[in-house]
Amino acid sequence: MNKTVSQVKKGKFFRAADLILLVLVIVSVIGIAVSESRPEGGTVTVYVADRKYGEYPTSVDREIHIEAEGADMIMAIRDGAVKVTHSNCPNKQCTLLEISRQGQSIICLPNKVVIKIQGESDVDGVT
Amino acid sequence: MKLNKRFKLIITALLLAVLLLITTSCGLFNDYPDYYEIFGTVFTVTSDGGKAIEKEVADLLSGKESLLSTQISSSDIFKINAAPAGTAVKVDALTFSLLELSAELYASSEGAFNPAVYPLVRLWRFSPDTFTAVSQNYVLPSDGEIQSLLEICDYNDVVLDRDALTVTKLKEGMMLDLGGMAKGYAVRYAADYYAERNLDALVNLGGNLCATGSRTYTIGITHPDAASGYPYFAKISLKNACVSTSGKYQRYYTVDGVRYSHILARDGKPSFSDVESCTVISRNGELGDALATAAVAAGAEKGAALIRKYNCSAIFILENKRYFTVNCDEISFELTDTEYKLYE
Repeated sequence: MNKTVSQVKKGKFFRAADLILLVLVIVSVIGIAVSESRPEGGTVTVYVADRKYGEYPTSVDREIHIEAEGADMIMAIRDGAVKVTHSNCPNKQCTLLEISRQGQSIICLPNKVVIKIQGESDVDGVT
Repeated sequence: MKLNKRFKLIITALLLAVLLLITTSCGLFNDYPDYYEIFGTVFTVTSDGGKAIEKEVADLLSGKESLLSTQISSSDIFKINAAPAGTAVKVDALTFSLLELSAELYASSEGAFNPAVYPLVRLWRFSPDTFTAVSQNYVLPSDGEIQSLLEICDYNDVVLDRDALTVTKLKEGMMLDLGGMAKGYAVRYAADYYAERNLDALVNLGGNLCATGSRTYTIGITHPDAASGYPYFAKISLKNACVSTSGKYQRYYTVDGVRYSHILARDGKPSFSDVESCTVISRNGELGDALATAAVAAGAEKGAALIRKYNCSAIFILENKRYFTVNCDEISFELTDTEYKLYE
């Protein structure tokens, strides 16, 4: 077959563009799937200094030792509720709270620890 | 052919936009923190204003903390507390205005709100530098210690000079603390910042909230019993107003099975009033914060009268699973823990 230069160039452009398009579609689909996914049931996530330290189901009774960046805390999960039973922070304000619902969190400021139960809360704030 | 190419270009552009949205919402390019630490607690904002404005506000609030904190050595309050009696300490206009409001509330609350009670707060180990929540073999302060400190905890012994913007303590050892209203002030200030920029916002500083704009927000009131299993005690609506809660459960320690809470009564001891917590809704954040504190110290009857006097709204949670509200006709209230009964 006799192809003109412009036709050949057009052909190459379409193939490269198709490839880019395909990659974008795949990446986007994966991206949407990942960002939309929510862990099943109750899941509590622990962050230390903005980095995820661990993720645990609230349905399993256990004690988690949070030891990172100077933090030394024990988080207890029992009967679906989460509390801090030990902390090396000075005030130990974080030991006064207990959370069990989506969107609730316990924060230990001195240790930069955020303990959060995944999911949307049904209120805009708590007083 | 041209249609196909254009179509593909549009799809490509759309997908790139989607990718950008996903990566920014994932925080991949997000340099801003999820929260700020101000006044020893967590500051967050819900608003379409964006993270840059949130940081501006957070920085401004840190500036207020630098003026008002008892812990920061360059603050007005620290300077007043460190100064000898008889020294006129010059302060910022903001500090002065809050100290003036405090004087009015000290009088109208008959001492239930007392910014001069700090020496006793430290004696009972409830200040930020002395408090620890763990119960312990702690020897409680003696009546003698309490009585002698009460003598330097009368706010009438503080002279405020509005022209000179100075504060003078008349007795040695007096110490002031605006902790009972500082956070309420801070959220009002933050909300005003958004309002001036025509932005809707809900700001939250450690459970002190302020809403500005046309939106009605739903706010949960903390259940006084942390182990209750309920996420909140009740839900209320908040629109263009501030809300603060003072509760015995917020800061306490236990000695010999007795809970000692951080809100002190006029006798210089942790309050054993009938109020577990008081939530106050007001237009003026610092006023609401102070009234909530006063109500827990003063008890239900005096606390309710005080809140009515200032035309604010409130929800009182009492001991024995009772509660009542003041001026809440315009506020939607939904009880979550239905074991609580309305106190008539």
